[in-house]
Amino acid sequence: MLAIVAVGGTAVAAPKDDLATMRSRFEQRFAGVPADDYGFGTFMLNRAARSHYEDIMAFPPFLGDIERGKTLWETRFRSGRTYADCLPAGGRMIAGNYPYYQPAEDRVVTFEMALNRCRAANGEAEYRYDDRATMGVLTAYARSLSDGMRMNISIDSDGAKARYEDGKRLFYRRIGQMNFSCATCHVNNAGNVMRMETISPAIGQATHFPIFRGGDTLYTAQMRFTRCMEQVRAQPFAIGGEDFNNLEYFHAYLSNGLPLQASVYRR
Amino acid sequence: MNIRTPIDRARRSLVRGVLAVMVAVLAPLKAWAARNNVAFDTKLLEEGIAAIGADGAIETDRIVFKAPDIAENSAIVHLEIQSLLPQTATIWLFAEKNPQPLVAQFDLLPGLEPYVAVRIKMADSAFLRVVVKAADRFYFVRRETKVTIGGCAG
Amino acid sequence: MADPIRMRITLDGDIAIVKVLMPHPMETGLRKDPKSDEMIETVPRHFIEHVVATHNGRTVLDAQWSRSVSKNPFLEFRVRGAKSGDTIGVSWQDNRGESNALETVIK
Repeated sequence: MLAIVAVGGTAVAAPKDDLATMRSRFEQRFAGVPADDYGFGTFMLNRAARSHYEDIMAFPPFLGDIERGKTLWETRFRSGRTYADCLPAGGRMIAGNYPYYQPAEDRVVTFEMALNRCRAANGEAEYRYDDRATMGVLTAYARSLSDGMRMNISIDSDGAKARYEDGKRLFYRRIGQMNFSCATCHVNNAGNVMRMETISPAIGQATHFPIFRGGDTLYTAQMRFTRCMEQVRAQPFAIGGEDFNNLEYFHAYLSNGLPLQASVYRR
Repeated sequence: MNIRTPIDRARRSLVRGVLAVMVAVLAPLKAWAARNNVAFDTKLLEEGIAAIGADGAIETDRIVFKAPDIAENSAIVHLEIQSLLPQTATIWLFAEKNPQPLVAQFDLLPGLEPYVAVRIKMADSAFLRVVVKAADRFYFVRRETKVTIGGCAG
Repeated sequence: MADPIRMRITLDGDIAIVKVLMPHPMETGLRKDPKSDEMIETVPRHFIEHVVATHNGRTVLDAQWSRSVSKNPFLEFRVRGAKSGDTIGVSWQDNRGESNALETVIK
């Protein structure tokens, strides 16, 4: 069912194999679920919940936050320039290319880092990556300009592969008092109910951040990672730090080929 | 009566998307109607029903009430109510286990279709009850909605 | 300054389908007591009590709400006999006497 065309033409075999293995696992677990539905997370598994999701999304309670993000996006820097002048393609249909590996710096660049780099390049102070009122709403709007683009994470060099492998290591590493890894829940137990919550599969998760939990509380991907780590009683990594950036790189790759949609309601 | 609007039509016509433009922010309207404080303040469903004069209400299938079997999120339960009863004048919505069960009263004046949708908080799994006054008689429908965690903190 | 009311109107024949979002905390005042696990009233209630909708200035819906309506309330209603150029108005008043209103022309 997950007949997603491999994107990016990568020369490195291993990430593709990782993804193929995970896809085939979920295809068996969630037989009959169309590939593109993975972006809906657990809403792909329950018709009533999906219907509720669509009712909320028809006029979501967080529209005010998106509009605040749009204002930030459109406000000119002191240089007179805007984010659209700074990002490729005016910032449209690009979010699915992030995070990407930047060889010159030998590091992963997230979409939020790219926004902050626009700010820095135009003489503005960078936003904190954990600040909902600035970076949160800005990225909520900016990512919506890529709605419908298909996730297109590229792992095309040894340096990129090394960052991917680091993210993968963190994804599978058991941590915290509960001794869980990301994979414990979102690979091995995807679709199962734990603490009254149905667990979403890792594939598809990266397509729709930021999310508004409960319809009003914004979480970027890395803020959500933080929450996961707290729930397994682990000390969370720093938001915007290299551990989370590499984890996000691996995690985003798992959604390759799936359509983006920002921002969405989640429970 | 002009009842020709199935509940799911809104979603389809949204796609057709005739958007409206904002023109002005008006001063708030002055003619606020009196509130039935007894009905809104009571902690018991039966007392709330009595306070609106609906203790003799008849159960009917002429009220279409869309509510989830299991609330995805008890802080934001999306409900749609459509009355098929001629001369529908008022719609009340009760959530049996909320601290005060009466959630809302909608007085429909001429020109309004007998339809409302609203999102509510639920404290606990409970029967949701819709009472309709139509042609001076009371009717009701109820549906059970389960919640996993109460949505009243906030 | 409260966020503005947001309204979307779609015309379906002569019926205006009106969807409204009213930014408001809809504070129940209730929080879980960590000792007893019961819900207790710890902060002041703050919620929209009254909503009025108009069509070309004439009231078509008069609603009374409790604190059980969700945060940033959503309301949908449908007005008969509507056409392009008509106005739809929505106003609310909360239990502190604060209020907001918006009038929109149907496109």
